[in-house]
Amino acid sequence: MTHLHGRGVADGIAVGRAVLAVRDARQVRYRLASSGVERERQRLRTARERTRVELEEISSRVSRTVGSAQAAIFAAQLLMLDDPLLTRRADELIRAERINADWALERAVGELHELFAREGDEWLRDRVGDLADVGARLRRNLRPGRDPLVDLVAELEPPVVIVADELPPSVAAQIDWSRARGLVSDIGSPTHHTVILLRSLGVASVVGLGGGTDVILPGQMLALDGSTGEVVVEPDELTLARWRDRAAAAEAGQRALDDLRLRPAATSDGVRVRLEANLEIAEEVGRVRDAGAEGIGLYRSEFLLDGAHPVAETEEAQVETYRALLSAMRPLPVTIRTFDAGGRRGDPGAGGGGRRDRFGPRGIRAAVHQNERFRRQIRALARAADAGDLRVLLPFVTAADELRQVRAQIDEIVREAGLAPLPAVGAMIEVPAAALTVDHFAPHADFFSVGTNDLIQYTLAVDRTDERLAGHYEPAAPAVLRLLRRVAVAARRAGRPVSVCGEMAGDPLLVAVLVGLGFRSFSMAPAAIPIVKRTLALVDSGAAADLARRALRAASAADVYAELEPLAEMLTKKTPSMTAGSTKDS
Amino acid sequence: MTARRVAVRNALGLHARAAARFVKLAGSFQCQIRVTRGARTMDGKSILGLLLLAAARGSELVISGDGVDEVAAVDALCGLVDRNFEDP
Repeated sequence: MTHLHGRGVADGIAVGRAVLAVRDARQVRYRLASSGVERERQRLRTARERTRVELEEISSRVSRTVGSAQAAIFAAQLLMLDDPLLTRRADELIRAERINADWALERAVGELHELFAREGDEWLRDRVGDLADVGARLRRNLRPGRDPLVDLVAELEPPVVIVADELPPSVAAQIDWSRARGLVSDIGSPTHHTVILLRSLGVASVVGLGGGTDVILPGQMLALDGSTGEVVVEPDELTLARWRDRAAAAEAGQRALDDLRLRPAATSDGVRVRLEANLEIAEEVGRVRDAGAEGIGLYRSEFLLDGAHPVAETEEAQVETYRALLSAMRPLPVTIRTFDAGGRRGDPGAGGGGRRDRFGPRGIRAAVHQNERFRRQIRALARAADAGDLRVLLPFVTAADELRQVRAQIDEIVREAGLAPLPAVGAMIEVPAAALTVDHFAPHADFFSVGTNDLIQYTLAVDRTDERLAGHYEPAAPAVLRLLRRVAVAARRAGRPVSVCGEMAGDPLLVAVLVGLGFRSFSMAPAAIPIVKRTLALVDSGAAADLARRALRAASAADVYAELEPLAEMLTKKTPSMTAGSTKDS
Repeated sequence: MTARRVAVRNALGLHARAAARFVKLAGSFQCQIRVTRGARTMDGKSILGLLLLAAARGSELVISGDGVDEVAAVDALCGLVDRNFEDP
């Protein structure tokens, strides 16, 4: 039994066997039950035959178009494919060590790499390229066209816990989290897109474990607490029993909060506050309604750009997705944010990862560059609009003039297609430049949505995914609060509805400050809604305004938290298990 | 078991194309084939193994066969090396 400690980022208790996923979850490792060995061997044989067909095809094409000398490269690759040191060795490893084909192959290739690397001969070391090429092709053919981890979780006996170096959001979005109960990850932060997603799904997550993927072996039993960051590897009988009790208690606490679901959110003196939900995957819409959300405050459409056949590629598929979403939520409003992507390495369309170029052509800047994609999305939105209450949100706006131009562009796209104008178009306030000039934006925006995650990053000049700056990303920083105050005041003066989204909105303590600053509408992860309702019911709107005034005068985030202490204490007494984790990390 | 010693005389040694020819020919026999250079012995049906022998011009190899068609196999494979792997 070993105890590890990471950062708890998504509440919940999970107990299950470890499945390892490394290198963007392309490489998966697990231990087979003895009954699974034959299937893995067959998987390897099938992959070898697929690879053979592909290589023969490539070889004959190259021989026709380039020449037979060049085709010889692929003849050599074909021989490597049948090489006893590669496939027979992998097969041996599957049988002897009862490991999955992907892992066996990874190890066989690794062994050969080492042998070749030891050779002084440069020519010989260059052959490693061919070997890696064949190895990668074989691996892809083990689970052709599918994400290995997604595929694997679907076939393993649940419950399992995923142990990853870093889990990409696009993979996380496809995993069946009723089978995978938790995530343990080497790197990551509370604001990593995958973590946001898992929090919204209520999947227990611990990140920042350092070498978790080196220490935890595939198939080991794990117990983890997503609020404290504790991870126990191979717990003994007694410990395991205790963890299972904790898991049951956490579920009971959740049910108590669920009772709040049907009550509208309001402060203790009866000031109504609107709570909407963020939606990550369109299929999760049922969860949003269950949580008692009064609408979808933010649907990040970038997820439609992911996958092998992205929905975003065709107008029809988009219309279908949007219509399904709108009619599922009807009559409640659905805010769909247009693609906020671009500038990210590789696929310019991929959504919200850690490597996105934060100062590049993203949001509506990208819309101008990738005109056709934007036009297609606007047409799809306009065609879907009559299915419910649609609001379209434009991300990453920096200047009023830019917003005016994009709106003119939208009107033109819709007119050209012979469609009715979009019912409501709003602007995301997530750049300090926009936050400071909300009054100039008002003539061109029907509503505003404050994207606090980015606003905090840009205001404090902190990349929130940068581990080295973990303490620097601070929602309660005085500069952030003052900027937010300006936005609340300017939006009210201009008579435009304004809502706050991002992590900060779902924080049970900071939401009290936000109410005090004048905000009355929020969008958050569905799981946060009951907790936030609970806080609001304990807070008087006048007291919140006082609190905000004191927070605006505070010299540091620490001073702000000191002001929040009485509230934190009150919350801890009322719902001990639910607030302990979230107050600490905010 | 049948074994014979043979010298690599072609300019490029046991390079990729040569190794490919060797493995293809070895694969047409049923017997097990082993190729030894110095202290290292490799499976003669493994192109990666042969490449790892790093047999440059002038190297001496021992080719051995073990199985029903071992004599024919060793004959044929030594012949291939003697003909400089049929390099043009």
